Amino acid sequence: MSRNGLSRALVAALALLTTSALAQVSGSDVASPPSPQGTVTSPTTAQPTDPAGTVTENPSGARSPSGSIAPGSESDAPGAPAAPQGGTNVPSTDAAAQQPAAPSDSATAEQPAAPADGATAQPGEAAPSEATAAEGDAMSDEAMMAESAEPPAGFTGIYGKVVDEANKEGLIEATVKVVTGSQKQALTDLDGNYKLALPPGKYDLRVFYDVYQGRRITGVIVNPGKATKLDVALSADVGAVQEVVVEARADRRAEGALLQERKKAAAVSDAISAQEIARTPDSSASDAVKRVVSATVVDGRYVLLRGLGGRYSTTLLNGALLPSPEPDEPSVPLDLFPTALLANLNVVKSYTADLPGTFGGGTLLIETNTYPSQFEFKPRITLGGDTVTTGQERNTQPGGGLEFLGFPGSTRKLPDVIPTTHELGANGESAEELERQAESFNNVWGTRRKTALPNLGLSASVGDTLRSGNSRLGYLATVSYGHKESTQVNSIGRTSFENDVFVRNDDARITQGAETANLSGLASVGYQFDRDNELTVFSLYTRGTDTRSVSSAGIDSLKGDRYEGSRLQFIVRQLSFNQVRGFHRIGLFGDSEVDWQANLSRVDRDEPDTRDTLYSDSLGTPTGSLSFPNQANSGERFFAELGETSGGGSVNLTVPFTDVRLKVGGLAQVSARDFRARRFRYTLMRDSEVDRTLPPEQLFGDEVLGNGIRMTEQTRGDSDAYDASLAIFAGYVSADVKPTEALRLVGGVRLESSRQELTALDQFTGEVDSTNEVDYLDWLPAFNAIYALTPTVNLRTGYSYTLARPTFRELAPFAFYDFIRRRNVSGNPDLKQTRIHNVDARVEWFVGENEVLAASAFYKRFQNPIERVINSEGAGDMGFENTAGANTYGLELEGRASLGRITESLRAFRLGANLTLIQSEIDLGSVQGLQTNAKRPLQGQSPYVINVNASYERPESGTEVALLYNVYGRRISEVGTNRLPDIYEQPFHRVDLALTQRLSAATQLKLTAANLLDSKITLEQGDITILQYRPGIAFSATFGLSL
Amino acid sequence: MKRLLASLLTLSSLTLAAGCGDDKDPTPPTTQPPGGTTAVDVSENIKGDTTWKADTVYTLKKYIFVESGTLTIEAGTTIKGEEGSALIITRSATLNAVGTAEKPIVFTSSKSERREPGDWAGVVLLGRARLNVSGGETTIEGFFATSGNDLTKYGGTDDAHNCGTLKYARIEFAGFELAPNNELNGLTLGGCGSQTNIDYVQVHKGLDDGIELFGGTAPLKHIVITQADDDALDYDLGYSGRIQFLIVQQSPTVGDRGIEASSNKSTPTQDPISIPEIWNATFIGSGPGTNNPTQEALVFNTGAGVKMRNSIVAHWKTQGVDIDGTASAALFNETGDNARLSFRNVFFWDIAGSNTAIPFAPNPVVVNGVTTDADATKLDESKVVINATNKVQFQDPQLEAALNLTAPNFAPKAGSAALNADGALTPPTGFDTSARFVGAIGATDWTKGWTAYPAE
Repeated sequence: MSRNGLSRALVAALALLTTSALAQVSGSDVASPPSPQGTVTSPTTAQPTDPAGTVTENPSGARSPSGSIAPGSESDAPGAPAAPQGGTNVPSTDAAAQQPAAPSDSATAEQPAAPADGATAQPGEAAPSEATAAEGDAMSDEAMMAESAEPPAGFTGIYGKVVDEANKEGLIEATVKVVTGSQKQALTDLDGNYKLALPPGKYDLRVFYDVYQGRRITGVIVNPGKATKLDVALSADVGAVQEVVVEARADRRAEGALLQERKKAAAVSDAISAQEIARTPDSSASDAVKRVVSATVVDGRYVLLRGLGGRYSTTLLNGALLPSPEPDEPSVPLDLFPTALLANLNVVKSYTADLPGTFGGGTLLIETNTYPSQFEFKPRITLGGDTVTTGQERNTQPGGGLEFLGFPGSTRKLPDVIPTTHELGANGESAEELERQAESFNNVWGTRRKTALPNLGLSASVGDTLRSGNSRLGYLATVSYGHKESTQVNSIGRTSFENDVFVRNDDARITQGAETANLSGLASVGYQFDRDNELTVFSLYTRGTDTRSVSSAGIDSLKGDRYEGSRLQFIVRQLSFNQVRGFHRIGLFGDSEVDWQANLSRVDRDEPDTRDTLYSDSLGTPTGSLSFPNQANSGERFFAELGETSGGGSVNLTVPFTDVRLKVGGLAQVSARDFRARRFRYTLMRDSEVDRTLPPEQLFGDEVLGNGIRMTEQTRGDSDAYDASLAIFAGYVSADVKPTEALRLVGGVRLESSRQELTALDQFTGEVDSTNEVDYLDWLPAFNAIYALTPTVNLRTGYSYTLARPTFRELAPFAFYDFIRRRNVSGNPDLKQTRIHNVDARVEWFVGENEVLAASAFYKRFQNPIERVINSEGAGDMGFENTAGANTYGLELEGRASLGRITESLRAFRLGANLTLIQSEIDLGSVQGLQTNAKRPLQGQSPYVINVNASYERPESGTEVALLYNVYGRRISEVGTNRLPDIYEQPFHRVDLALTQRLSAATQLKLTAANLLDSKITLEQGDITILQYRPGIAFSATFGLSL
Repeated sequence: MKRLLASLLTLSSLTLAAGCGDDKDPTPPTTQPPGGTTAVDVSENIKGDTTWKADTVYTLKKYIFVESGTLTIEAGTTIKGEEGSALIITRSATLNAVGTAEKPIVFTSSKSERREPGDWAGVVLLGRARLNVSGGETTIEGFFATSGNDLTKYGGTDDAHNCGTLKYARIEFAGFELAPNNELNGLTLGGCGSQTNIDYVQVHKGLDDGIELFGGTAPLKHIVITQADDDALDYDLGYSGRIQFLIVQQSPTVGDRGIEASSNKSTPTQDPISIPEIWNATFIGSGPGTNNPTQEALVFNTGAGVKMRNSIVAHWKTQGVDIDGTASAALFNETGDNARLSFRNVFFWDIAGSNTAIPFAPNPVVVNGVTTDADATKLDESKVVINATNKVQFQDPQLEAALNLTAPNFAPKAGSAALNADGALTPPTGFDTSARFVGAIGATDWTKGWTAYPAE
């Protein structure tokens, strides 16, 4: 593989950077700030036995051969945020869109305010303290004292409750800070209570909470041996109180904080916090995101927002565009992100001009954890399994090396004797030389059987904030490792109208054994120079391997054969993402803010040595033994490497003029991708008299190679290698005005220029076969209005005109072979980009802390939507066309409430539910071709999605129980062709249970069970089941320590 | 390597595109032409009328689409194909390639030695005749088709569409296997109509099938398919042309079926269904000793039929006739001379080692790995195909040297029952009505002179 050496080096460098940062931090106190350029350590030091090892779960993504969906196969415990409670100190570019409009009053300029170091009271989590003090030495006693509302006798200091002025509800984690006379501060607890132990004296306090106006209370007197009670009511309104302090930001991992953000956001958005994720059995972002209103997940990896996937769902990681490591998918597979790394997932559903212009169903904002306000070290171990795999026989394949850690064994790589500068045999090699080369490959073909082990997850995180004068330095490092085994036994078939009777035929059983290993690390270092300036360096590295051993047995009635086949596949995906973010408050125009980020990322996907065999026997005149048929997909090896490097940055300037809050910004992101594949095939030599019933290890072994069987290279000169690039440059301006106290208007326009290039080339000579270039320049207007009917009820409406671009593949003037679905996918250089009219309306009522009721409606009109079409009868080859148009409209209902509203005794119970109804119709018009239906719902779109969750929390004992239910309506899995109906995936009813229990002050146990109903995945065509399997019930147990 | 001379090739093909193939080309010859005097590389699609001259050896560098106009190829012209090359006559263009018995047109591998099936991708003719797929048109197999690209589309409503003439021509070492069930063959005809003229054409050592026909009605006459990699003659998607004088000889190593007949795998009864009428055909397998595990002469599935008359089926290792699927079985169960899957006056000989009966070919139905019906068609080939009334019988055709791979002779020996006019039916109008014999060759061996059987 002529992999670009530079990119290899880059990957290595990034990996080392990450690991070094991880290696720097240890379980003990770190006296000096860890440097991201610290000691270089091998990634393999993160052994499972290493205390720094981590729990993470593996990507789910059990994919059936026909590309169906495998939800519910995850068995691991979710990463409850192993990470600490640090607030997100630096707003990311996109998150900034939802930042509350900062009041224009200038903040007090006394002590640098601490960020809202929110020791989120993770219910059930053994956090030793729910309050933090500015000084570490004062922390422990205060932490203890924060346990009860009334201070113990003899307490000297100030205590009280911070409440919302409107509803008198206690505010969690509001900061009460002593600004004169001491440097202490405290956070309120779950009920809004706080305590500050202070020597007798006179103090000035500042009380603040994100999205509320801070208050300053002066001259509070503390008498010896007395506790001074001070209750503070904060108002969510702007301008009511003289002194307003908003330098704090909410801990965005907490559910309540996210609701507050949502309330203040300019756009329609829905989010799920780390706190909520922790209550589920979810192990990766792809699991968690399906809990968000209108989000569904297909293939266990790709998110559909409002029924729209692929190009219509943009993912931003901390505000940066991410490349996808999948060659055929425009969207990022979310199983790359273990939940342990997540601070929150936020789905923005109405467009604002500061977001990238590719917006259809929504934009998924992934925020990763930053750093905690106090030292913490949290190791964790998870064991899990499921009812169809663990302890049972499963398919496997010989691997070796460190594959259980996610590093491929050496036997998988292309042998060194295989030429990389020319096609095998193209340089006039002798027959002996060719035979020697053919014999250099790993001669392993068939699947083996082994007993599946329980799944293992290890994770650890460490973080702290170090203070020096006005500046502070925080860090967080997380490493996680997960290993998971799974099996899937499919029954599949094909349908046809035989003499006008619709029947199932070509019965086959596909047995897949899969093993995934996932290793990931995150390092985040933030430095706050002073109150107005902050820098964060963030590095994320995640790699996962996916080892699939598939055996099949069935009937091919078209060939008139009975067959047995196998496929050995091994895929490594890795993502390295590095980012520097900055936030500066500058003294221009009142209190302008600048935030910026620069990023450099690299994704890789290697698929070394996928091996296929198929042996068959005639059905009509059976010989009784299976033999090598000398045909495509029997005796084939496939190697593919994809890499994409992306770099860019963005900057936003927010200027709070008196009447209007102006935001301007820009973005530049350039990415370059290279793809190289090689294929080799074993065929019979002329006049070969070899015994074709020999098993593959013998037939393709040293003795027969060159003596009846030969191996030739079948790499395609015009489609197995390409280079591609995408450059996006954008600028925007938006204005946020409040013409009346209740009405807020946010309008903006974005200008986005993009350039896509794709070059097919000969990977050996580098000569260009064909090139395609497309340039676009687009205006994207966006308008949102928010009307506060009451302080807790918002009406929202929005309109925007956005776009969706074709992907590299779709524009390529040649075909690719989709080696996952085994068919050709051909691009179309004439594709036009899609433009989308979006209309949104929502009413939301923030009933109380963590409580909301919302109803939304949306309508989208797609102009020139790009649709996959089948364009060849026999092979099912696929292409892309602009179709006549598509409409989608929907309704979303959401409610979250505490049952304490019914009766106080039920206060520990909470109930949440959301319902999405979507109707869509695409009109294929003139490009219907072979497809059965000219008008149908969009592929993958469910007419309804329902999420229900019920939870019970008892903070006193550290107990939390959550019961979750998720179902999606039947959705098109494959489009039917040639008069056959569309193939629908049937509803999958999923019930999950999670129980978290604190065992001691520093330990906790979490038990989960997923898919308790033991539901089956079923694909139906007409009334015939053509694919079915049972993912099983999955269990896990996680033991976590918090130091 | 393939693109070493890319820029030069562009130059030469521009010349071709202008229809001035006889110009002295500035491109230095890349091969030593054996018969001609000039070598020309073809690397650009052809738009407009173009003539390829007999004194020139043309080398196809990639897939060459004749987008419009007529490509005329003079008798005696040699066309060589490099790896990954093919000649495609799109449905907006026509081929006019007329050789003679003495000066056939030869399409062959560009390799000078170790030539083998699949060295290049073959010849493709596309037309606008009817197919039985939804929407009436589709993309031809075996291509990296680009969506929105009309060049690879075929099918329509003109059953008389003329794809052109290919006469006295050999296609050697061609074919391309893109993926399972997705191949180019030596000669591929998609949607070619009844005005198309394919006559005196040999496809030798083609990868995958020798000739594959997708829909349409193109007539085939004087066809020799030797040692194809898979099936010899494959038809699908509603092909219903007339075929007369067809010789099939299988490769003992890899050759599978003499005919693989399909109609529509989704809806086998969809019109038009595949029912060609075949007169005077000779299907030769490799005998019981072949190393190939199975070799079946005539296989019908997914609703395909045939009206086969005056033909010979001999030396097949495992099967003579296999009728798969209930739709094809229903065609066979029709009665009378117009039954859409019927045989009349056919000699079977040396079938699965027997000269008395052909084997039963069951059609098991399997559900979740369990056989629920041993034979869905309820049609026992061993009992119903051989039929004295229809003169479908075991009879030694006494061919001269039909199994010889390098110097075969498919003519019957003097005195063979195949030459007995009373044992044959008279072909109807539209066929050569004088052919009152069984098998492809009567008194005159029409294969002489223009065919060739190189091993490599």
